[in-house]
Amino acid sequence: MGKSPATAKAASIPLVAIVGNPNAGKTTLFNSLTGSHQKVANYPGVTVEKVSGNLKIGKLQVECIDVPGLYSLSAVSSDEEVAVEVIHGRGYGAREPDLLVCVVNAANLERNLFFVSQLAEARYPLIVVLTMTDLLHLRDENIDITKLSNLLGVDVVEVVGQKGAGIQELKDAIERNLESPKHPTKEFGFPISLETKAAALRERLSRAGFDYPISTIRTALLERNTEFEASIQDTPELKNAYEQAHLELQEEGMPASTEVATRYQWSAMVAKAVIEAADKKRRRRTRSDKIDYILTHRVFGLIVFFGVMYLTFQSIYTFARPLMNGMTAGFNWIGNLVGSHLGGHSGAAVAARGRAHQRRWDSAHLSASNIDPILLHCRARGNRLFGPRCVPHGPASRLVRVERPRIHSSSVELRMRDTGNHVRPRYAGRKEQTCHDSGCSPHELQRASSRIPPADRGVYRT
Amino acid sequence: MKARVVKIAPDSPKLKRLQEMGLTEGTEFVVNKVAPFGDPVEIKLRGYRLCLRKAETVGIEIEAVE
Repeated sequence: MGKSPATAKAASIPLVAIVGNPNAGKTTLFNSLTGSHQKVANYPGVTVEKVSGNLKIGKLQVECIDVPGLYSLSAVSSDEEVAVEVIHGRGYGAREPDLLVCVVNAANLERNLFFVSQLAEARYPLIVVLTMTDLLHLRDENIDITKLSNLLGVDVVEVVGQKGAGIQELKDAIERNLESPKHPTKEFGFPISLETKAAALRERLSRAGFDYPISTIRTALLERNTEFEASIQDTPELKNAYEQAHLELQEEGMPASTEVATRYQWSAMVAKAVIEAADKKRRRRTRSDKIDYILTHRVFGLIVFFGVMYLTFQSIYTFARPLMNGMTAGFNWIGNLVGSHLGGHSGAAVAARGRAHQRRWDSAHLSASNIDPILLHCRARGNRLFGPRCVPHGPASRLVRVERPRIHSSSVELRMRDTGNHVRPRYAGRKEQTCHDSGCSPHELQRASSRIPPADRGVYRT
Repeated sequence: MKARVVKIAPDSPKLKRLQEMGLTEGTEFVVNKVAPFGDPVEIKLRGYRLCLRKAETVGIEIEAVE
């Protein structure tokens, strides 16, 4: 079978997969090894896809792959499946990893070692990287790395993630293990009857051409596994042997959880052997514990929650006001600046036009809140913008009157030329109230308003 | 408040996952925190903290430990 040059080249570069429990520090390690900038955060489940990068150890070129975290090799979610497929050599271009780097959180050793025990049986060369030892030290605990390495049968390297301490040692260990892999321990203390039955069945299966890892056979013997059963359906003698062994174990009274429970017994034993606690009573609470105590407290937590919500509300409705006013002023200033450079349109015209828009918007809001149009007229007069001349008129429909009360444009001009003739008697005495509030001189206003297209004229309300 | 897992119902994938996370039969744990309405609950087991909804723990038998 002829391999394409690309795959042949890729195959010559060793593949190293970084695996481990969620939130153990896999991506931090990946970033420091490869110089990438993958997203890291302090909670489980940040990485949901596999990511690869290149790493140079001396002259050796290594491809490194970062996968989502796993609690065990039996995946239940799709991101876990991604990781399991990579470990089994089905996920990443059908390449089996040449080396697994298992990241172990030293502050949560038992649960992490459970996963190591599963990996150890998956037959791959393995290195263990110990992270978060600084957290362990905060708890006044110490870990005996040499002892851990002896118990696991593989190299254990301590790495303190962000500081990059231990990265060089890890690179050396990767290089060393790629040349001469160490085989991890497989002694986890499973019951002897289970081990003999599993080994015998595995022997028979391999003779028949099935290659199942011992852990799969063990779990299938303890509790019926439909997938496993279906695969040996066609060979009756295998099926019989399997069913008989399964029944015998059930008669012995071996619970289905034996597989998991035994691994945890082992990992608890290892953790106890390698962790030296200084003095249990003097355990300090870490800063994170102290923050948690307040934020997740039944009473204080709720107070903090409502405080944060109140601040959010305030920041939207109160704190933002000066900012919004500043923006309005800024736009007005730009309007003036631009307007003065546009032929024909004076700054005031542009500004007035802007204000007209603003007010139309305001009046639309008024209509939304269903204010009586008559009231609106009064307001318009009360604000003394255009005086009695500008009593809005328009179509009879209430809504339209509120929304777009037109100003009779000629009436403004008329008002400028002609004092009082067109004023209704009611308002006759209020001439002095005209044209004051807009901030423009009457002359300016007149010029401005004549340039405003009729459609843009509205009630001027301040 | 300290308790011990007595029995876990077999044949449930969700409970299998909890066992793989260390909540096996015979494991002792401490109830750390309880949310305002009694659910979820944070427990401490095997040196780490685990947050559980009560619905996720159906099928686990526990007993109090003095």
